[in-house]
Amino acid sequence: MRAVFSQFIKSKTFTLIVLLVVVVVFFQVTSPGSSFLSPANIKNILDSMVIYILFAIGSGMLIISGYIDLSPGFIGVFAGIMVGSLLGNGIPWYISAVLTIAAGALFGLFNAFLVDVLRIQAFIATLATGSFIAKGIAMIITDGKVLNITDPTIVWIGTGKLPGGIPVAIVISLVLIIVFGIILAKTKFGRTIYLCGGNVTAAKFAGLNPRKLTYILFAINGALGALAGVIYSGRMLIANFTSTSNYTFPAITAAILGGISFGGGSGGMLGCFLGLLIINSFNNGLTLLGVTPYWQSVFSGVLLLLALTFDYISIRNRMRIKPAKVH
Amino acid sequence: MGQVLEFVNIYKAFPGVQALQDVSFRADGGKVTALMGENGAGKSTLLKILSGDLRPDRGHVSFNGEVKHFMSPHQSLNSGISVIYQERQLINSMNVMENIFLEDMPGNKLGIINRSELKRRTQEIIDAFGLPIRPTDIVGNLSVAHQQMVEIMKAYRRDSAVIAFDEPTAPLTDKEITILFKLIRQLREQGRIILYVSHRIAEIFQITDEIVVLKDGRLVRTFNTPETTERELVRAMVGRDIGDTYANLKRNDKIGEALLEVKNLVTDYVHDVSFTLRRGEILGFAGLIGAGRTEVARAIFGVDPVHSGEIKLEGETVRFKSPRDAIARGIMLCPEDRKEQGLILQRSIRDNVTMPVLSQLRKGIFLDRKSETALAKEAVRKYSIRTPSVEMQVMQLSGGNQQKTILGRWTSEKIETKILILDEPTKGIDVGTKAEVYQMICDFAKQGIGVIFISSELTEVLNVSDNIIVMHNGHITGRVSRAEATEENVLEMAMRI
Amino acid sequence: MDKNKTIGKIVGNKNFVMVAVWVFVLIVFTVISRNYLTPGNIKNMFNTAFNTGMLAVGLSCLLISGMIDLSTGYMAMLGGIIVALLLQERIPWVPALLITLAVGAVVGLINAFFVNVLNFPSFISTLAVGTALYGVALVITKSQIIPINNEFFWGLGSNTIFKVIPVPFLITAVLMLIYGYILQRTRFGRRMYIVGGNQQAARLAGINPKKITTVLFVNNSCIACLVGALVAARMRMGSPSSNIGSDLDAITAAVLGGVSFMGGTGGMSSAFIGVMLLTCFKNGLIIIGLGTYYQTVATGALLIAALTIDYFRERSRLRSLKSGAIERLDVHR
Repeated sequence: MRAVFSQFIKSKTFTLIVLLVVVVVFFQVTSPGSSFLSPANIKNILDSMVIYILFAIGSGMLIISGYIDLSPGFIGVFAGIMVGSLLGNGIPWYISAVLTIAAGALFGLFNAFLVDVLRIQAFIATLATGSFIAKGIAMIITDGKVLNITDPTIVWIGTGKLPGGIPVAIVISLVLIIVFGIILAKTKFGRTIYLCGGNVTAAKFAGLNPRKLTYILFAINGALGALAGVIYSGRMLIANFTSTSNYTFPAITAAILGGISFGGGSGGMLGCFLGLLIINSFNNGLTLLGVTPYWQSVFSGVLLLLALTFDYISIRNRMRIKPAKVH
Repeated sequence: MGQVLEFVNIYKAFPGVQALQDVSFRADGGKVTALMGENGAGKSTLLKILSGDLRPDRGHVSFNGEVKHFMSPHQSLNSGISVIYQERQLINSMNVMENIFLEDMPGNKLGIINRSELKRRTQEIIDAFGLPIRPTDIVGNLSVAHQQMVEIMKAYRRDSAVIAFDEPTAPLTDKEITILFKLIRQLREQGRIILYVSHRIAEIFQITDEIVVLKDGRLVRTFNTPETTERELVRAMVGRDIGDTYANLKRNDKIGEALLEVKNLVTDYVHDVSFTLRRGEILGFAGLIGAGRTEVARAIFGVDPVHSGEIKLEGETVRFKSPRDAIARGIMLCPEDRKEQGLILQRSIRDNVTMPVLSQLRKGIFLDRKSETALAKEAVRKYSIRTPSVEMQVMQLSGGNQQKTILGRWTSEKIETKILILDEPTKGIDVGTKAEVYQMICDFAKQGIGVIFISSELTEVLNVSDNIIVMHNGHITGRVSRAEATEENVLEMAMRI
Repeated sequence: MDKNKTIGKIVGNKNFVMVAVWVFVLIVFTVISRNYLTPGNIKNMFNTAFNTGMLAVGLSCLLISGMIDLSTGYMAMLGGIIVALLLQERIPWVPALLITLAVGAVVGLINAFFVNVLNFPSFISTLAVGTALYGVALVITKSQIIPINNEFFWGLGSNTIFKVIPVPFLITAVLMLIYGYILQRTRFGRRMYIVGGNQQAARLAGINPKKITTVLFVNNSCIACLVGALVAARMRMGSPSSNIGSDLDAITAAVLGGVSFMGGTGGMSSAFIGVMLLTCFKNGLIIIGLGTYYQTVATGALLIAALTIDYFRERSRLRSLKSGAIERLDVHR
């Protein structure tokens, strides 16, 4: 029992929890009227995390398996436009949504194609697919204009609440991260991700199918990106061509902060979630304190560096392997 | 000359293991001192301390009477010490001359490289070695044997007073080994201090003057090479008498009907290969490095595409598009490069053992940790893998234990192995474990498994296999039974065009 | 026999293919539109090329040695802002520029500290620093632009030779030549490749990868500041919205030209060609009236096309190797 406890103390999860507690306590004490931990504010924090969570799930799994994917944000942009156009043409919400998510998956498959068949490095390939193709097509369709989203169901997904007051979007994202977290940790599929990420040749020689896995993971990331785009447009009531494009980097950063390392060594959805929670709580807290958005940027950079430093100190005495290279 | 290198009371510990304990010995100039011992005995650690890659906890190295505390490889190199590691430390994207002069390219004070001098001096070294390499060849395109020679030329260029070789002959063909030994003798004449780490006892007797034996981090004995025997050495390394390894093997005497029939196989690398493997048979594949044996294995295992020819498993024609297909039909491969192709080093023994059978270790949709652990523990027990737990990262195991992990993967109760292809299974493994592996191979045969045993160590291939196929340049150049085979006739077939 | 080999060598050269594509692009656009090769437009192309190109100099060195610096764009932005502020305080332009470069050096050291001393992965670490720099930029400027009134300084950014080639582009070209020479012909340059190719081998050979990458981080940040300053000179202001994403363009151009993420390959000449190709292509699309929207899609397609050609080239090169060295296209990534 003591062994389990001491191992926990040394683990990444513990570091993250400590960091989270520090952030929470700090802001709870300093925020006006101790409003930081009020139900309304907690809802705000979770609300701001929705899009990031969706991106972090797919990107996190891809990073474990050794690939970086910069396209989900742009796929989200495309998705917002696509669902807006379809709805604008009178197509029912469920068909629009399904088609859009399928399109996202298609983009993902295209990414996988570039990376697997044409051997293009993932950084460039996904950047190309995302910022050039997905966003580009979105720009062409809208011709620079902004689309209005008025379909009640889509709007409800973005802004509505379930009985009890919990917003739908939060529920969707939380359910998804829990589901994928379990898949990653406890199923054969999840294990395969870690194995293929650790050594793709050895995995292949032992009977796994890394190629199929790559296609599946990219498709999932594309689909999740599209879902995020749909939720975002529902929430904002408009679709334009910048919407979710800046959410990718922070999501990836939070995932890596949460312990996801390139090459199958470590990481999981719990770490991703804690990482996102820490960053978003931090930003939220700063806003409550009236800190201008300008300083927020400085602080988040600094926070990230602090978190990495803390990480470094806490693992310095442990045996560690060098992180595998990213592709 | 009279140069002397001394290790004085060296202690080095890693988490969980005392790698070196009070090791002291001296190596003199003008002599080749061998360093022998089982895997985990401490040889690599000692070399790393010598090269400045690691620092001892206690004790020091002394060179010509001067105490040296190397804080980095840079300092060790500056003191005239060159260590040639087992893993080649080369830059594959650069050419031969840049690799040989890696840290010391000729040039002026501004740092501008003098290309013509670089090329000229490189050519001089290549000529001294007598190899068919050009200074401008890209190292990544060279054969493994030639890459190793580039590594050796790098050390030669340094003109070091102390040169340490760590398993230098593993990737070399006989031709290069002759060149290397000529060079070593030359260096010895010049009065340099030479350390030679190797498992290959025949070579030790050929080229060394003194032998230092380590066991479990301690120095157990030193020998004068001409005055000792193989048996004595092995007994010192292992701590017990292994006896005549091959004569004591309990072999399988029931060879059954044809299991695998390969007819006129053609791939990118092999031409017109045909042979039959029978149940319970150990079929050895002998030949020089690059002969095409690994490529035959890859073709059978579904890694390389087959251009023409036929493969029949138990009478049925098969075509494998991926290792997955081959494994499903009962054909398993232990690859040549254990670390790069056989194992996922960062994962545990448990993960590596259960890889191919994950589908069968489930409770509902979830993986069943308990049965996974049980499977791994069974493999550890069956093969006497030395580890405190099945959760240990595979990268921390010795070579022998790593190989056993891979064997454990293919022979668990959840998997039905019909054919086991072993490609250089004893590479980098100590004598004691090697004997264990040979018996394991015979045990597999006894269970009716057809074993394909690929090895570049002639002695073991000849003595363990029932029948031997010899290859050269992608073709089969000879077939003999164990009874008919001698080192001479097999070697001749291995070099036959 | 020798002549064939030489021709084969040239055609098989990656640079040749890229140059051919570039020339093709130029011809196509010239034919389609009479506005493409006008002095005004050529000047525009040079200005864009200078920005991407100079950033590519610093970034290529880092990529080759196995590192990446995602703070570069923000550094350039901040550089422009700092020089504008200093000029506003009536500080003569030479010291102002030097101080700006000094700031860049400090930022470079900070990046190097996190990556080399604390062993942070360069991807995240530099991104974090970049975010902080962006914040600093916003705080200093309060989101306003900072005008520059030094007319001589304007000239630095907009003076031209032969009426079409801006001085900054010349500086870029000179830098590329110098750095190209350093990369191919000096010990330090070769060490960048060594460190990027196999860090362990470098270390065991007595080369200190950390020293080299530290120098390169400082180098990169200084160059970024210089870019920012020159852009500010031409724009006549320091702005907190300039240079966002320009580093990604630079990385794209470098990778297009053959610099690899794994380190150890690529060079200035191919980076240069990548920059010119990307710049001329994007510019051409604007000229023929395809909105920025089509531009983005087409550029992505170009990128993919270029990399595809490269893939096929690599594959056929590997196939034709002597059978003495058995090379395999394993499932690599």
